[in-house]
Amino acid sequence: MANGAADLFDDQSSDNEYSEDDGAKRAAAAGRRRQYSDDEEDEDDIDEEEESAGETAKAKAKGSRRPRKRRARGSNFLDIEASVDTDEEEEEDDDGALNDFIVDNEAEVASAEKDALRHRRLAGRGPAFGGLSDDDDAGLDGEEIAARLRARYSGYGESSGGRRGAAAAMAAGDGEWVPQRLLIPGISDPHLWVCRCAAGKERDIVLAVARRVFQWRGSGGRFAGVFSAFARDGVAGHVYVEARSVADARDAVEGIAGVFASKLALVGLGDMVDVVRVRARTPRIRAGAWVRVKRGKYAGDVAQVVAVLDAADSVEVRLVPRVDYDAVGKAGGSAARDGGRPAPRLFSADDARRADPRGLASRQNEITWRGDRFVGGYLHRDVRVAALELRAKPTLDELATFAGDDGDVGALIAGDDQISGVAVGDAVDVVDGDVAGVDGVVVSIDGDVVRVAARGVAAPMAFAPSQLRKRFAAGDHVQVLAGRHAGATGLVLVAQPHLVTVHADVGGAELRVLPRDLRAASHASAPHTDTPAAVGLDVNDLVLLDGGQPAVVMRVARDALTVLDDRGETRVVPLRDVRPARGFDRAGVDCAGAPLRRGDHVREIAGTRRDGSVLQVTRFVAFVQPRAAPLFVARTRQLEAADKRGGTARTAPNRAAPVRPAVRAPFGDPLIGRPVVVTRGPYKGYIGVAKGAAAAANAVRVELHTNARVVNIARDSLAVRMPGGQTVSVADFSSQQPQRQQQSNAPPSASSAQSPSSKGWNTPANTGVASSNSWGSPAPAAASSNSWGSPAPAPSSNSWGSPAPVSSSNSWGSPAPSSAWNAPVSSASAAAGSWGSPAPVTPGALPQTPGGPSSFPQTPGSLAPHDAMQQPPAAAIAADGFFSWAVPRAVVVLGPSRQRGTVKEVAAARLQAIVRMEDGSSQVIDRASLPRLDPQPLRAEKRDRVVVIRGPRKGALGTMVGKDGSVAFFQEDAAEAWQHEPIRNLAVLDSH
Amino acid sequence: MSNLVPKDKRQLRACMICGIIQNHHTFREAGCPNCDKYIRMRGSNDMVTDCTSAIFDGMTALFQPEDSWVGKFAHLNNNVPGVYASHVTGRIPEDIEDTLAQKGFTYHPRDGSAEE
Repeated sequence: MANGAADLFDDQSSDNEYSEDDGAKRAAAAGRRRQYSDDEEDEDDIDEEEESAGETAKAKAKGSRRPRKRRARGSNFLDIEASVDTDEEEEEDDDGALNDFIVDNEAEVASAEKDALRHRRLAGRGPAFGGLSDDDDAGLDGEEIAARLRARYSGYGESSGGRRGAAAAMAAGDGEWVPQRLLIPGISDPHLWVCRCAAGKERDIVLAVARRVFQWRGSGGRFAGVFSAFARDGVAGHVYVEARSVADARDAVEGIAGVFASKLALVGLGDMVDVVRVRARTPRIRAGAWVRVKRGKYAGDVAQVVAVLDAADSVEVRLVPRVDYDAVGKAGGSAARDGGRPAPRLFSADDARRADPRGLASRQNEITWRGDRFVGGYLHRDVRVAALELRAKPTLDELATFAGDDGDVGALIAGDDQISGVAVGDAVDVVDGDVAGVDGVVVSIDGDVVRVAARGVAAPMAFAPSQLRKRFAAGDHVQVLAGRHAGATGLVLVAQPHLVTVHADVGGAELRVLPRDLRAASHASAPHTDTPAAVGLDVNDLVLLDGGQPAVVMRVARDALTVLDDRGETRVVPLRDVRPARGFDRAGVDCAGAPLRRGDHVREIAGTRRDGSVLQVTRFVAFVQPRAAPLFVARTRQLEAADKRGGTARTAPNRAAPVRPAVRAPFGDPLIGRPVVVTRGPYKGYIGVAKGAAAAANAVRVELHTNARVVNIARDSLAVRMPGGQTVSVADFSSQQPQRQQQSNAPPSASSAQSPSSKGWNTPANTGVASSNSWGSPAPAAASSNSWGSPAPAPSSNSWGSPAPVSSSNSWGSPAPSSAWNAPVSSASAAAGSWGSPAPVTPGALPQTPGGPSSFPQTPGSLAPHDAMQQPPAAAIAADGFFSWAVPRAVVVLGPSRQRGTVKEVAAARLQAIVRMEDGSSQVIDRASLPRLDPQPLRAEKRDRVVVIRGPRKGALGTMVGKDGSVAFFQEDAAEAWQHEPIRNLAVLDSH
Repeated sequence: MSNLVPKDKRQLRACMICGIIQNHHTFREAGCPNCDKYIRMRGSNDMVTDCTSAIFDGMTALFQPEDSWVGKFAHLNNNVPGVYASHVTGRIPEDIEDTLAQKGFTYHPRDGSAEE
């Protein structure tokens, strides 16, 4: 055959060829069909009968590329393939193709000769190409050969060539489908760079990169080195960029919100495939699975999947309908309007017929009533998967409701194959798969793989959790892990596959429990009987769950914890999903803004007003242990410290006492929000803003301007900066405040009513104690809680209660405080004048007072005068005129001589600016010199460089192109279109 | 150029044939830029619903399909630049698959089932 001839000329080449044989095979296999169409075209003997027009176009497109490549270089390799494959081709190809192949012989001979000639020529050229066809490759670098071979045969190595662009025109037909395992990245492919980003923003970032690149790609070759950017749902907080260099990759992502572009890292060649193939583990939804409805009338209800609909983004579920048959008769009457929703109950055709007979229609076993489908009493609905919470764990009660009055719960649970809740050491039955019926003991759990040592089998076998079910037998001693009876222990009376009846050790009740909520227990239930030492966690410890959710340990087992999480759910979580909350910020703030610490006595401000002592507290939730009730969880904002209500005796006073001095600060503290200067200590000279009371007595948390750090600084090391620029020591500053406070008639902030601290500094005004004493200097306050009250010998708790009947959140509801609320503000503003300088923050700090009760009188009306008061006086407004628009590099004219200068620096907050004059001198503009100098922006003319000094585009740079009356047109830098802007909004930009 | 990227994140759907991600209305009004030559989605709401899925995993913005390794790996290198999903849940109906086959196009599902 013809290729034999080719081989003759190519005799020495076999080694190299066969080492690359794989590649050649691949190319041949992928291109076989193509190859034939090429040949057919060459012969002008095209058998197109079964080929559609599109296919021909495709073949032509291929033809434009392929023959060149084949005939130019590699045909002899492919010919070997062709000869090997001939038999099989004969079988599968029709005669025409076979004929082509044979008829082709002469042409093949000719081309083979040509090839051979070419080889000889190349061989003569020396080592540059000799490596492929010559023995004379001793001097050749092995890597070079490898690289050349790869480039030649891997089919995608020469990715930068424009020739592959032609391939893009080709249809993605079947011949092009190369298996992914052959598509491993090579060194010539672009690199992947991974970039950290804010979790949850991955898709936004990819879209942002896409917009950016597509927008700019055409112009100026920017982003030419960026090939793709992607994020995988399974890899939170990471975005990948495929680019030639790290600079390209950084260019693509830098500046996009949520991207931490400083942390770009290269993905190794070996990892690229894994990175691309990552797939989020989406729970596969199956018929029979239990789900929960997220929103709407049935929010929170369990539902069972009946069928998965076509596109897999919606399912048909059945749930227990909540139908209000009585409401149907009323005009548009709906239970929702009454604030409630009907109880779930299986559909009753009789009731429906009575309520609305015309709306009822039935077909086979399906009843349609008022647009809803009911089968067997259940409401059937098509729901989008997104609107469902998958992997719901229905409780036994819910299942009982679902089953109806005489339903079989066991049959329902049979469909619940998702969660078996097995743990290491559990005895299990295998209920699904090849070895269903085997029983054994769980040896280990690794993600979704459960290894079970089956009885009579030496090696442990691996199962999915859904294939297993816990196994119990009558007489087993078990403990209930979750649900209503969580914590109880007892003896198994009856063990059905899906339902276990337990005789409780305590009380002797018969409990019906799902197997998944049970585990074998070796001892009777009593508090603290578990041995937690092994895991380093104790009962009542604060832990963080998977998603950073805080929870409190209620029980500790060998490999699982029973915890109460921050939503009040009791859960059993595997140990590996829990980490101890060590070093966790354990301080919350109650509804009045007072810190909550462990051990504080608190009461709910709403609902059943449960009370108890704080067992654990985080910033947002507190776990509260009532005296004789189970632990409960509450938002800290929904709690109030109960001490001040005369109930101090209930809390150990010595434990709570150290907290007191800090308590005084939050909202009564006039220091908060003030700019302060540190006058002593390591931070001496630093400027910052007082943020709040520190945990340590007599200290303030100060946010430093210099690096936005918050540090704790003793009060006596601070001085307050007044708006005028002078500084006042904290003691002096504080002593000024009470007078204002007095004038302002003690704003009824939450703290005054509810926290002892604020009471403390109000009281002196009433009792006549020198005000500066009572709260200006913290010393007496810190000394003992008695000083809070009053000089009266009565116990402190009394002194709180008695003078002020305002004792609880009830008073908030009344309109009284809000009227009192308005009054102090106006008087305070009057006071502001007498006080000397405009106060940006009034001592009451009214708008800052936190939410607390919802009826908080934050009406706009009451706030308006307050805002007005914050306006600087007339002089300051004039000053603002310049400082509101001054930007660096803007050219201004100054003084009576209208001399030109350039703004160098602006500190609008300090009302200072530095202007470099044309003669080289510097001019400082501040409050004093402003009226004299009266700086004005230099008006721009055509072709000036301009900067926008006012309006929404403030700060934009550009070039002025013309004006029309008072409107200027300018071209913003890097924008093509002209913008128009009132000419007074533009200033000339100093281009030096 | 700007139509290569979905305008917003609502109602994003991915073509089950090529994986391109577009807004639902874009599929309806402009069709799929890769697949419309085989099956006509433009103007046909049913076809859009049948051939696209709202459940997809991963998002790849592809700028240079023919030269990108990521694009090659995902069999996207003959497609237009745009934003693609790496996995699209769901398969096209069989009759559409037949139509594709008649036109010489073999359908490769992108739901991960065909993974080697």
